[in-house]
Amino acid sequence: MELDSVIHEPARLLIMTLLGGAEAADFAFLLGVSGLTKGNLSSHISRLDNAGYVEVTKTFHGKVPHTDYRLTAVGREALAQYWEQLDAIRARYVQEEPPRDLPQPLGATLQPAKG
Amino acid sequence: MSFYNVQQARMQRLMAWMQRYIDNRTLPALVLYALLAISMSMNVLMFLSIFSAHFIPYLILTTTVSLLCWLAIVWLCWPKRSENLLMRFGRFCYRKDGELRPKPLSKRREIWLSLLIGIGPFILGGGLYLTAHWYHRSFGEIPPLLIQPISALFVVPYCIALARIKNQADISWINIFALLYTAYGILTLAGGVSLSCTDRWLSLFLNGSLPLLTCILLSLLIGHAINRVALRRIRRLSNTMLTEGGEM
Repeated sequence: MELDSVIHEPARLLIMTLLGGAEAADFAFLLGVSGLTKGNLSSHISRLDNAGYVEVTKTFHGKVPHTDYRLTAVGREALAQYWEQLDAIRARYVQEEPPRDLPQPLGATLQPAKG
Repeated sequence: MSFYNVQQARMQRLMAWMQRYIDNRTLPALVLYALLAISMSMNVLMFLSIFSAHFIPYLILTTTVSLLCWLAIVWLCWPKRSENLLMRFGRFCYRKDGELRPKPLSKRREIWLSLLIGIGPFILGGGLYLTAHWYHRSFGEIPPLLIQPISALFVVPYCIALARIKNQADISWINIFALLYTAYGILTLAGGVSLSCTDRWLSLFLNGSLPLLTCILLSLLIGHAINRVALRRIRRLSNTMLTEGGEM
């Protein structure tokens, strides 16, 4: 089972979650809330736009250019599917025994000294 | 693996705070409220000047101010190039936050909302009138003190219905208003709050309109405070998601 690499990136997952909670948001909101730089945010949004997950609408408020972003139906479905896939992986992991080469929990290795 | 549980829970919390943030953008409503409050107060003073004082210059002044307020409300709400001045004012107030549009309502909810807004004043006014009439016939003249608790019987369910149809967040200013208005009614009945006055008309205003106006103002102000808290929470959650998500 392969996770969607476009959504799996934390910044893009955050952008999609933010857009999922509203009908549309503008660049200023996403910039202020995410804490990403302008260039970084732009590149992540264009990646989501190329994947067809986000729709970009450019308008003018008077003479000021304004860009709105909204999640497309494909984007919403992809986000829902992403979490379903994660749930499935988690369920499989819980059913199977954990691999033996995994490190022991910290509490098991650090026993208090006796005496 | 529990990391994904935490991340998923964070996302759900983020969406919930976003809903609270959107539903509590109350600054444009506060402007509208100020105009409505002035207009309503002027109307009351107008009636007082007719019935009590018979003071004509006072009547002319209050009528003019009231009319100007109503004209300002119409001017603010009149659509110009697909949006009204109030929306533009809202964008100006929240220009630092950026713009966020709420999810649109379904067709069915829109119809219910239009119906509720359309018939709301008749339900509230009619209900209040019928209850007052029934009280008058059964027990005599209605004491001004009971106006608010009786109106709460109609106003509170109306607000709850409005919030549910509008898909409002659990902590939204409409729900806060319903809570405050109920609390005021209970306190009035319990004898804790009473605004008595010798003039009957002024007493009606004090016990009817004043609690309503105060509760609306308080809920709008609390709503604005929640909006600020929500924005901070969204920022903090986003930051955590980015910093801890980088280890995914």
